[in-house]
Amino acid sequence: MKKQLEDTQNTITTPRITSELQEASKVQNVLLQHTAPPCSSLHCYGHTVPAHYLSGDYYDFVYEDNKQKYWVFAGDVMGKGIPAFTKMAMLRTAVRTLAPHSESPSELLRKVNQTLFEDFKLLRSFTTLFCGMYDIERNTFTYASAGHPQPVLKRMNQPSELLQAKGIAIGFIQDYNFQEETVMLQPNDYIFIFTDGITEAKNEKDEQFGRDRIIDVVNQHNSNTCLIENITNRILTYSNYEQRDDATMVTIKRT
Amino acid sequence: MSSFNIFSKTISEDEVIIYIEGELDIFTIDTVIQKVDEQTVSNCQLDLKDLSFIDSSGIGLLIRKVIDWKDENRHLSFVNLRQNVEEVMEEMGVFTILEDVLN
Repeated sequence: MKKQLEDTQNTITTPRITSELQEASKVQNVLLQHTAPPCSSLHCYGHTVPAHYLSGDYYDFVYEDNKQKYWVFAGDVMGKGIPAFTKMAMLRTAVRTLAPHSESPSELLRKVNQTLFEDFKLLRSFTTLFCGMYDIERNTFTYASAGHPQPVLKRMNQPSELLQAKGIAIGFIQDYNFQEETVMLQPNDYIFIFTDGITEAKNEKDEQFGRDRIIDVVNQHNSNTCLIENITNRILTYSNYEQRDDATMVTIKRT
Repeated sequence: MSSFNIFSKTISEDEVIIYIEGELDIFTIDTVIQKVDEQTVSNCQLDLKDLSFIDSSGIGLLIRKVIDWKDENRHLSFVNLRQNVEEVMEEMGVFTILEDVLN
């Protein structure tokens, strides 16, 4: 009888979980906006390669046409799979709600941190978040980082450089003032933002892909058009398609 | 497959050192947390000199544990960080967080 019951539960439960995962995966596809809002001044792309059905990685674009501001985000919520995905949804909601009420990346990060602090403390979780804001009238890119890996700035026919930004991950200190920096973007300059799933991809010798290889690949690309596709292929080949962590990439280029 | 090992050494009645070797990530962090939770001493050091890799999930849960110990008036710390481990921690703002939390 007990065996019969277990068999019945398995028969019922397994397809249900699969179905729920598939539904959640559809939600994820909507939440991770695959097409950036069009803007004549910029070409933006984003892509996530989840390690499981669901990912804790986040990227997003918010275009405030009336303010001539274009926001770009990349984040990495602690953990993997369903728990990380649900917290990513919390992060996205906070970012999208607060962006229109923020003047700068540092202000937005401070508000997102204050908003999520209590919940993340209870959940014993945290997230990194890079926040950039392109000012379309001034052609400036202002950015702040909440414990996120440093993005790469590639200027036309010049070696790339790392964007310096220091700040703590979200969820640890309730009132924290994030620093921000500003760079001027010339036509065709682009910025590559990524999560640690890229740098921490490993080959069969247990060697990480690392930041230096990312910089090498970026240096080989004067345009961001194929960059994400090429890095994705490099990472998957490097790790022999055995991905350990979610990997997310975002590029923003001045046209 | 990456290696991972953890063991502890009692220094005194009230002090323990936990040695963590190999890679500390989402797959191995629970073993570390369990080991830390077993301790009844007031002072515990996590010796990371043979830790070759730590990911953000590992770092985050270690920080949470340091905060828990602080709330219990106990002291949990990490020592002997390799450069790559220190760099990842620095990028996440770990030392700023700890300075704020512990002071």
